[in-house]
Parts: sequence; structure tokens; C-alpha cells
Amino acid sequence: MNSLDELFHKAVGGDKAAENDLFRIIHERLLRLAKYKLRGDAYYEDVASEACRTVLQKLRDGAIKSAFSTYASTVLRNTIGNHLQKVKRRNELMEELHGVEDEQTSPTSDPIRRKTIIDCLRKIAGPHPEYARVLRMVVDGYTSEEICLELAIKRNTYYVWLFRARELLKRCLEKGGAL
Amino acid sequence: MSKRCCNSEIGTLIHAYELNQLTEVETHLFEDHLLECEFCLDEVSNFQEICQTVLTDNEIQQALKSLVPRTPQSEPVWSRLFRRLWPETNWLLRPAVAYIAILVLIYPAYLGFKEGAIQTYERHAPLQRIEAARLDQDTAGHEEQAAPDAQGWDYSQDQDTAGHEEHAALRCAFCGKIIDGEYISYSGESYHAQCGETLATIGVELAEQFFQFRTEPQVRPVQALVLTSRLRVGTRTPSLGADLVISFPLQGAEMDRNYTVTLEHEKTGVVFEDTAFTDIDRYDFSGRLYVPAELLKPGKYVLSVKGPGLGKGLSYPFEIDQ
Repeated sequence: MNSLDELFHKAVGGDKAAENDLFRIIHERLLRLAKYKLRGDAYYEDVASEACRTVLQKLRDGAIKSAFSTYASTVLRNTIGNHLQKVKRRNELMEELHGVEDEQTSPTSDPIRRKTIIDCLRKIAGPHPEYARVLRMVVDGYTSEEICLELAIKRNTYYVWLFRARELLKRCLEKGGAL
Repeated sequence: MSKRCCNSEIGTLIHAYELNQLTEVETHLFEDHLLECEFCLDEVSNFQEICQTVLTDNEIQQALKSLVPRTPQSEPVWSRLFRRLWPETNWLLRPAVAYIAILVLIYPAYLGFKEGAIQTYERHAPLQRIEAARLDQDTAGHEEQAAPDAQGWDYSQDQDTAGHEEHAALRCAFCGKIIDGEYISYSGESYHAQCGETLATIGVELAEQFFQFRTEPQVRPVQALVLTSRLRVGTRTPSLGADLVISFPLQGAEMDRNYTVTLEHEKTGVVFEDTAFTDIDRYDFSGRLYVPAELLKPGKYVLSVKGPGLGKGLSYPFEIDQ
């Protein structure tokens, strides 16, 4: 049993300290997950706080019957969904009013970082062309089903290749381009 | 930051999640995991920028496309081979370097084997040269030479050996020298007449020795006799017809010193004497004397030992039955 579940059961049992700890931890994690999922969206804190309030309310009501983390992530997903719908409606409204779309910001890469990433990818592709190949196919826009079908590999193999490619890329970047 | 993922099975989905490659169910599962696992949450947060760069940067995408073809079949074989042998890593760790090193190590071994094979060949070369010479004569000699003469000798005669190359010269299988003139052919080999006679003599002697060896017993029976200062110890009295190994105590004897051991028969006197006896067991201080059966006769014997540390000497009487 992980620490969240432990805290959850204690909190359900009336342990206020555990409830406070659980609230603090889940708020911090929901905040980070929301930030990750709403990349570049300034409202991620609001979204996370709303999700956290909902979770806490349900906790106090004793309405959480599933695993706590599952429940919390579901609440966050729904909250994010609601938020995105609002944003979409707002954008549509703005488009109707002003005839312009929200500017799509694409991340601008640091040239040094970009070069390091390319060097690392080259080094990974040497001994492990299959890892570079799946990355390339992802970048090309293939879905996981299409990639598995084309390379004749199982889905689990595909995930493992991606995981290993990531590990190699991360290690290479940590070493400044040396693998 | 947590050091490890709390569920490595789900943790392997991390990059697929970052690249939006998971199914909806798997995505939900991984997000549940992210709330439980601080390590993975840190990982996705920290790697987010790199992931986005890889997914959106045109130069990186172009580089990826140039690095590998979309499908493995479209990549040429030589390109795959080169990539395998010469990956972009520390050059010492490149497989090609390892293969070259292995070849460099194997080559001297190959040369060693080859040298050994040549030496083996050289040892057998005389026989092969003789065989070659015979073949040469069988083919070329027909023109110049006659078959065995009227007396029935299987002989041949080199009439023009100087004109032949050395490998074609007929050599004696016994002495190795070139046969110039008549020779004896026996069992596929050629010999000078003199060498043939010598070889025949040696062969007869060897055969005699061989049959003698075969007919004589190779294991001689041995009987043991253990003597003490007072009484002879043993289950039975030794008898004639077998070699005798006598063990006797030598308390006070010094190792690596010479002792005089004498075996005296009551009638014939001294039958055996060893003035440089050193066969002393360093653990139980006993001597061991081997007496061939030929020296033994029935009757009473006295074994005497003299030397450093034994005072006036030791004497052990014993008897041998008929």
C-alpha cells in the first residue's frame, strides 16, 4: 500500500493530521500534473485547486469508493476537460467577435540544446536504430497501432523501446552530449 | 525527489505517455500512477521541455529522418552493417575496434598453428618425397627404364638423378640419403641395399624383444615383511618366489644421512649390502628395503643397520620359508 492510500484510510478514519498531509500532497501533485497537461496554460493552478477542492469535499463526504489516486486523477481529468471546453468556447467567441484565432505559440528551441539533442539522437541511432526509428515515426505522426503494425512488434515492445530511447536520451543530455 | 519508480511496470509507459502514444485506458492508468509516484511525476515534469522540443522542432525532426529510414527494410544492408560496427560512441567501445583487436590476437595464433603444421609436414616430408619420386619414376621412368630384371629383384636405377629436381630424387627411408643405383623396395618404402640389411637385423632384434616382453609377466609379486625390535610382525612367514619389501624401525635415525644396511643369511653370509641407504620414512622413522626374489633363499636372515644416531647398530632376525 502506498503512502497516499495509507493517508487516505487514516483520513477517512478521522485522522485530521493525515487529512492535512493528504491534502497537501495531493494538491502539490495535482498542481504539477495539471501544469504538465495544460502546457503553457496560465490557469493550471485554478484547475488544480478546483480539482483538489472537489477531492477533499468527496473525501469528507465519504464518497470515494475507488482507489484514492484513481479518483483524484479522474477528478483532475474532468476538471481539465471542463476548463478546455471553456477555453474553446471563449476562443470561438473571440473568433466571432474579432475574426482572429488565439496565437498558437510553438516552443522556440535553444540552438545549443537543439544541437545537443540531435547529437544524442545520432548516438542513439548508431547502436539502436530501432529506438531512433520509433521516435522518427512518432514525430512523423504515426499512431502507436500503425507503428506496431509496420515494425511488426508488440505494443509492450514498442513501449519498452520508447522507454529505453528516453533513458538513453536523458543520460546523453545529462552528460552534455556524451553517451 | 524520489529515487525510484514505485511501479516499474507502469513506469515503462512514461515516454509513450509523454509522446501521447498510450491508449485512453493506459493514459488514465499512467496518470493514476503519476499521482502515486513522485519519481515519475518529477520525470515527466523535467523532461517535458525536451519532449516538446523533439516533437515540434523542425531541425530535430529532419535530423531524425536523416538518421534512420522509416522502415528497416528501406535501409541498405551496408548502412545497417556500418551502423552496427561503427556506432557513434567512444571509439574504444566500437564493435569494429573489438573485432580488429580479436583478429590481431588471432593472427599470431594462426601463424603458430601453421608453423606447427609445417613442422609436422617436414617431419613426414621424406616419406612423401619418396612417394613422389616413386610416382615420378612410375610415370617418367617408363620411357628410359625397364621393369624388374630377369632375376626378379624389384629394383630400379636412377640413371639421370642430376637432371631431376631434388624433390623428385628417390631417398632411402632408413638413412634419408638419395638412392643412386639399386635399391630394395619393401612395404612401399625404398632402401639402400645396405640399409635394408641393417633394418632387417634391427627388426629381428626388436621382434625378439617384443615377444619376450609379451610373454614375460609385467607385474612381479611382492610380499611385505614388517620387523620390530623384538618380534617379527606379520600374518605369515615370507616364502620364496616373490620379491620382498622389508620394513624395519629406525628410531634415532637422521634424515638425509647414509646408512649401511646388510642382509646376512645364516649359511651363505651377506647376500645384500647397501652402504648408502636413505630410504627412511620421515613420519614413522622406519626403513624400507627392497630385496629381489633372486637373492632370497630359505633359512634364517639377520638384517643389520648401522649409521648415525643408531649407536652400535640395529639387528632384526627373520626367517624365510621354502
